Amino acid sequence: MDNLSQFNEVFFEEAQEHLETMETLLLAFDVDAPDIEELNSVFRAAHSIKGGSGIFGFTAMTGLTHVMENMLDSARNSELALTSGLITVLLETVDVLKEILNCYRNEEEIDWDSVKTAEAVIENAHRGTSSEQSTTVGDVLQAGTDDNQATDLEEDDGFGFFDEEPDSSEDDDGFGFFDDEPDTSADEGFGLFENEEPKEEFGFFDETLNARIEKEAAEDEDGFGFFDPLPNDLEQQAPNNVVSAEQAAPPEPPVDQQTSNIAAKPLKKAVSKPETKTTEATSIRVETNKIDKLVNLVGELVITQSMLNLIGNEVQESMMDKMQTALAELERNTREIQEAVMSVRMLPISFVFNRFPRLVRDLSVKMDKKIDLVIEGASTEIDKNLVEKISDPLTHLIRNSIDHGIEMPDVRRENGKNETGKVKLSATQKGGEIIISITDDGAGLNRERILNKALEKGISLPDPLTDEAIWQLIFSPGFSTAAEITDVSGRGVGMDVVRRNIESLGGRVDISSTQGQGSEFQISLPLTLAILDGMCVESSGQVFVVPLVNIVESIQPSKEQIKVIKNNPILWVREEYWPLVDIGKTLSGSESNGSIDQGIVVLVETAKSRFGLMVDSLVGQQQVVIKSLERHFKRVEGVAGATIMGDGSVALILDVDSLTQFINTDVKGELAHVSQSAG
Amino acid sequence: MSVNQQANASVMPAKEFLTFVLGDETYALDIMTVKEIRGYEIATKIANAPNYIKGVINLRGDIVPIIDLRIKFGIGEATYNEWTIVIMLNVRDRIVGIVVDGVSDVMNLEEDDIKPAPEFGVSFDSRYLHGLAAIDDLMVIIVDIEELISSDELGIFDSASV
Repeated sequence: MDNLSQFNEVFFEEAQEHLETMETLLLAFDVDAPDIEELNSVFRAAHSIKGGSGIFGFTAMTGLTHVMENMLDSARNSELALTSGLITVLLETVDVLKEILNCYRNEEEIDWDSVKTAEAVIENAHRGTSSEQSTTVGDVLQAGTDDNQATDLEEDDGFGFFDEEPDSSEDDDGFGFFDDEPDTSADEGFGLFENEEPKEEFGFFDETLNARIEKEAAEDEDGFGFFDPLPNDLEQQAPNNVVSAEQAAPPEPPVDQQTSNIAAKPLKKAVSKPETKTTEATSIRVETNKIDKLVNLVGELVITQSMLNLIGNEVQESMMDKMQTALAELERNTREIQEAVMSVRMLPISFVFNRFPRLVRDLSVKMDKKIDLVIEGASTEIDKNLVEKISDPLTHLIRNSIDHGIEMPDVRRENGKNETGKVKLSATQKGGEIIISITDDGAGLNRERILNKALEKGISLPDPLTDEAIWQLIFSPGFSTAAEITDVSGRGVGMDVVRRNIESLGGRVDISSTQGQGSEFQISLPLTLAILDGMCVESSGQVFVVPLVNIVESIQPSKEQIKVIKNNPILWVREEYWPLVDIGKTLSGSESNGSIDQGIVVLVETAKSRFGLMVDSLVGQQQVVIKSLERHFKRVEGVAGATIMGDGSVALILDVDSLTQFINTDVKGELAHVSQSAG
Repeated sequence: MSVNQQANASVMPAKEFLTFVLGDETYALDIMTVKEIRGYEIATKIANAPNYIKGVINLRGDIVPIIDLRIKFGIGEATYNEWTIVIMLNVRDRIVGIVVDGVSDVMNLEEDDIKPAPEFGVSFDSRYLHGLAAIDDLMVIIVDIEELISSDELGIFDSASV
């Protein structure tokens, strides 16, 4: 029991992957020009899940994947034309499979009703569109779905003369499944089997099946002819041999199907081998905490290395040269290790983005809207932790864009827009931040409606009522302007949660919108755990890191540039007044020593404001690794995180955005006044 | 083994405690919470933190806060020299360092040895006290360190995240 359950996790991971593959392939499937190779891949995925779930006794999955497999099988034999309706059915089945998988994973009760319903739906769809024969086949096989073994047996029985096969097929499945075992020799051997197995065996079956069905269709025979006694079968098949070979996608020499199985098998194997090799996986699964540990260790290594560097400078003359060469070598290696390890944690954002074409497709069908989803920058890399956490908020935002943003096709036509709405999902890296934006060319946010709704809900209005401030209202808890609640959106929980989720990741959401032209939701996320380009500054004897992305310039102010408003100094640079924040005073609690014109002012800007940071001196530009302060401590205002410097000491990374609050409000007001009167 | 267990069934099994010194007083904490003991090093100051939070240090890649209990409870003098000790604690999945004047001993105490703490006369709030134990004329104050470190009074954890 325990022996088997340790492989359960492996199965869950694999099944998850297979399901995702299926979904991606099905979405990309072009109904007008079906690609048999793609269908084969979908079939293989379904088959692997079926095999694995059978071994582990996850019967709900076995049954469902089995009927799915039947349909796919007919489809790839060009016996069933996949319509977009059928694709939807298949996609829904994938969803049900995902649910079942989660149930098994969390050891929850299986919803057998939904499993049965899904099986029935796919059967009906299959029956509705395919020939009489395959329907009957499906029905007969369905009887055995509760037990994988029995099913396989029945299937094989049908093929009578392949009697040798079922055993080997079962075995292969089993071993293929265990190919994650650490034993590499087993890995190589059996991994190969797994990949090639469906092709080798089932491909073989399919062809015969195809041939038979062709023949049977021609003769308009009863579907049960499928299970006709062996000799009959063989007779029927012989004349169709050539036809079936032509129909099979991979060009294969017409095999004399009347030869014994033993003879046919090696031949097939030889054909399929070179193809399958290319699809072998080149990745392994590693637990994230192992990677985290590596990242930490490398951080330590970097520090040790810089300590060595310091010591190296004190080495005596004779050894100096050798030492320096070795140290330089060490430094380079360390840096390369660091980069390599960091990159392990980073995943392309396509991991998140890939699930959205499906969402958009489903929603557009459901709401009768025409929508194009454009994805840009899917290769932008973000930290794995973020990948998991950003998915829900993004789903909400995209749903919102489609439900509230994009208008119905007729409305769009009236407004002189293209009937097909466009939703753009893009990701870019800007300095220390990842910017993910969701743009639609829909109706845009409605200022009046949001204001009315806010009044109705008793939400206090911001002052002044700028557009930007009004848009932020939609993030208030319980806020929804949707005329009616659909199952897509309108419950008013979404946006609230979106903002909370994103803020908990240290990010923010900005909205821009033009009535009638569309709106843009922009999510800015910090690259947590990624390397940050920063300027190290010193203030009151302590080193701080200012994210380079925020820095405009650093200057040494002259006395004439400093003005004082209500006892607070401000700086006149570039025809503009900049309020000042004394880092030493606000972040280490010490009084500033000396006057401003002796220190340095780092001019910074954020999306919201521009101001100057007063520091004692600049230390230098450096790449730093962001470490969480919250892990063992708590969030500190004005600080985005911490990093470990070359000497092993800790330096705080400034959060320029939240430092804005340290600007004296009096000064802010005065400055607004000044700029108004100037304008 | 089984004989031993039966013999001890009536009393609580002995627990090990680490004793440390704050000023003139000797305290003890459950040794299972101790991650390691190290010398004091200058910590990076944290903005707007109370004075007993000395700041954060780098513990092999983890950014760990350092608390000086002497300042927090007004015991002894908060001096820092080469003998000043930091006890690294593992509390509720987090690491926290506490500054003490010295670490003295590891001792075995059975539940019976621990007497209830008086309401007064100790610098610590009785909420954080497990009890008192007398060992060779020395009174040892046993601290419920987990309760203390995660308390709102110390405020080093966000209350939401605990």
